[in-house]
Amino acid sequence: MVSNLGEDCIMALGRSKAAMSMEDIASAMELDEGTIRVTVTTLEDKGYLRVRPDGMVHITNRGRRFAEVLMRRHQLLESFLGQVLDLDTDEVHHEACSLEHKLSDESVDRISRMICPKGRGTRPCWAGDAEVTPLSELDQGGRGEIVFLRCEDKARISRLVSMGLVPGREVVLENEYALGGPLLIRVGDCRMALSRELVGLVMVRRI
Amino acid sequence: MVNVALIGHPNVGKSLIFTRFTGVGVISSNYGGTTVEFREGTVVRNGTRVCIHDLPGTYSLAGNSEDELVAVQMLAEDRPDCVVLVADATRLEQSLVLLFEVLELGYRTVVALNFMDLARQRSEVDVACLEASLGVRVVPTVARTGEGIDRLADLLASDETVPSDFFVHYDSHIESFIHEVKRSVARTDIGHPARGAVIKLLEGNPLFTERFPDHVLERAGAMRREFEEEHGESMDVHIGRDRYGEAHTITRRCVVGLKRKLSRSERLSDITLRPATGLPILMVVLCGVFLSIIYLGGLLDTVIMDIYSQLVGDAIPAFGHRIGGEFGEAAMRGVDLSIQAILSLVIPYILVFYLMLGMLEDSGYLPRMVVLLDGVMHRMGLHGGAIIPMIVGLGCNVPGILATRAVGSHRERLILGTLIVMAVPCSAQSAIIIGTVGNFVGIGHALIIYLVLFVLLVMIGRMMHKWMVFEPTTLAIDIPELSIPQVSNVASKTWLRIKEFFLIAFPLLLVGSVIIELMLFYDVLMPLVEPMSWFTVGLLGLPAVTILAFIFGVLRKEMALGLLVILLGATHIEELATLLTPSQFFVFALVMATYMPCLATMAVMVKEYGTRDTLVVSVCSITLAALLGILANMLLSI
Repeated sequence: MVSNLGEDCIMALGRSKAAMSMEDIASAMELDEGTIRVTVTTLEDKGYLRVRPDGMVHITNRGRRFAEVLMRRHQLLESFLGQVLDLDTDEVHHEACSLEHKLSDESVDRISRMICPKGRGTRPCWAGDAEVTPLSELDQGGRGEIVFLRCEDKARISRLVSMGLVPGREVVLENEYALGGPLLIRVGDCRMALSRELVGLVMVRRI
Repeated sequence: MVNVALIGHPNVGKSLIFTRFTGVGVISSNYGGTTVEFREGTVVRNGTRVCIHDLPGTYSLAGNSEDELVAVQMLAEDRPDCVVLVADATRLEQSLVLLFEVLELGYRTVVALNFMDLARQRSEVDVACLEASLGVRVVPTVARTGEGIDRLADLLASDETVPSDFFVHYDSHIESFIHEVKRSVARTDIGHPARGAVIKLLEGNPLFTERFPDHVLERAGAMRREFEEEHGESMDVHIGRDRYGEAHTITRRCVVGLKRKLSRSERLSDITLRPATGLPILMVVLCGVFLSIIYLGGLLDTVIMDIYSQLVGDAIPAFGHRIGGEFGEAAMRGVDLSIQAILSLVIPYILVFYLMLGMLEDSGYLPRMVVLLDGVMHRMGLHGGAIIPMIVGLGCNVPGILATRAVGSHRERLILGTLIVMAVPCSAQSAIIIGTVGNFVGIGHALIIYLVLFVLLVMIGRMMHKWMVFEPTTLAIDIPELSIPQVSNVASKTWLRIKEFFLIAFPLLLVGSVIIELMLFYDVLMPLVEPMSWFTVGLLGLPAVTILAFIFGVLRKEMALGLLVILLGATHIEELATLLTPSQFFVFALVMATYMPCLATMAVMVKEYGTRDTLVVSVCSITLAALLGILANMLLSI
């Protein structure tokens, strides 16, 4: 388990693109350096971040993944508070910051199902992020970066992955065919036709 | 002896490399899924025997469809000494990801960088940089011209191929799992290099992991769940993401794209794919192919028959008369007629059909048909990919049924197989339709038969779709670029496909016709003819002897046509026109086009779908053919 302070610290590092000094982290979290030093050491032991000899704190891959999960949860809460409870934008952020640590997985799951019924479970929910849609919803000629694959069925996931549709890659929707026909997409140098239902599992962020 | 497996994505030219390498002809085309079984060929190179296996194309080692499974199982179970990864130099990233999987499993590997001619126009590929980054030998090849094949062969025969020490660094969380599992199986023999097998285990792939002890399997399951909870992404997706990241880095390092305009073939590619322009083009292509089969076939028929009558004339029956008197003449007359039937009715259409098919396949147009017709095929519970086995089935039902392997679930394969057997006329059936009805009655009537078959196809498809438990179908197909078919490849492919006809069907037909002549001479067959005349004469309105054509047609459909000529007592092929009425031709061709698959088709169906389904389909098709024949006869005699 990671403490509340630890979670905040990982989020601060996850948000920043570069490594941070202790001082930066402390000011980002509005705390003093002494308070966070212990937290940083604990997180280092758990493998989320690493302190280099020059004192700069780097986030590890593991830390970055964890930060993504935390940030998605934060976003989920913000959109819940903003869209469903209609709170003011200023309040939303602070409210989310204090709630996020206490929320059980079950609650996250329920909220995510409530405000984005298509996303499932603790999967990243991008309800607050209007830019994320199924690939099949892009306009003809539209571009997107794959964010995640929305599916529980291992065989389909495996098929998508082996055809090169993995998160992080850029895709273009080239053509659509009538009568429930396939969608023609381009990934990297490859062009392929996939059935609508398969393409709908690929969630992209418009670019 | 070195065992080599050719592996690569669909449509990267494995089969063509195989042909270049071994001289053994296998069929290659410009779309994925041409090879659904693996083939082998042996060559001796610099004193070393090299046995090459041509595997079906596969996107990954996950074995997502039956043809991919054939390839992956061969790798996992037979462990070839060396793997040639055939990569597409124009879309390197994708091929590198498959290469990573192969390298992880510790195979000695050589990369054949195919399509180098195209790649050179588009980018600068630094081969030395690739070799250094990947730790394997990379041989640029152009399978179409044979460039680089010699070097590849030398490499395979030498001892220079070694397993690479390159590996992909995964996410640190995944690496820690790999480390943990590796340690726990350090003393167990898992049959594959540990790191690769452990990664396969974490991906949830059952193929390389059957030797792991149960507690390790359980632990891996727990790891997968733990990872998914923490990262919100399943482990195999993440592994894929890391592999593509690595492939992207290497490609960026070693390949410099050139600025260029779209080539003419790329622009044409776009036009054939866009629905608004693609559909009209599709209609034109289909009509063009159909018309050329009919007219080119007809033209060829006249030419061949002219040559035959000038060169041979009545020589064969005359020869028979000289050695065996009346009896000899009868026997040899049968031979002569069979030869004529084959030359004028069968060969022209089969030849033109396979030439057309070869050109369509090599041009890369078939996947476009798949895409454009996908929506329509959903109405029959199939996806667009089903078009390809159907088109192949127009040549011969046997490879058509084998090609259904690339299509998907058992349900789709069974629907498709049934459609091919019952409603897709093979080239011999087409020869009967065009050769009799088309020649002697009129091309319009031949078209009506095709129309009937098409309606049947849609009806049977829709009925099966409705009655069988529903399963969704998913299309996933690579779209290759259009390319100009190479004369040599089309020609050799056509020869491969009709060779069987010359070597097996033709001799069988000749022997068969002599036997039938003899039986007719001694009146042995009549007991068979009379009892069935209630059906042939009464219900179908055909001469009673046609029952023999139907029976022997089970052996080979071409046989039925040859026999028809003999049985009706024609002395010349053209005489056929006077022996049957137009409506009799129509009924005969319609029944032949729908009834009973030939023996070879039945054998392959039993192998692919099991005895029960084969029997059901056969019985149904006989019933259907009889009903259609009776119905047509009734309608025509009004």
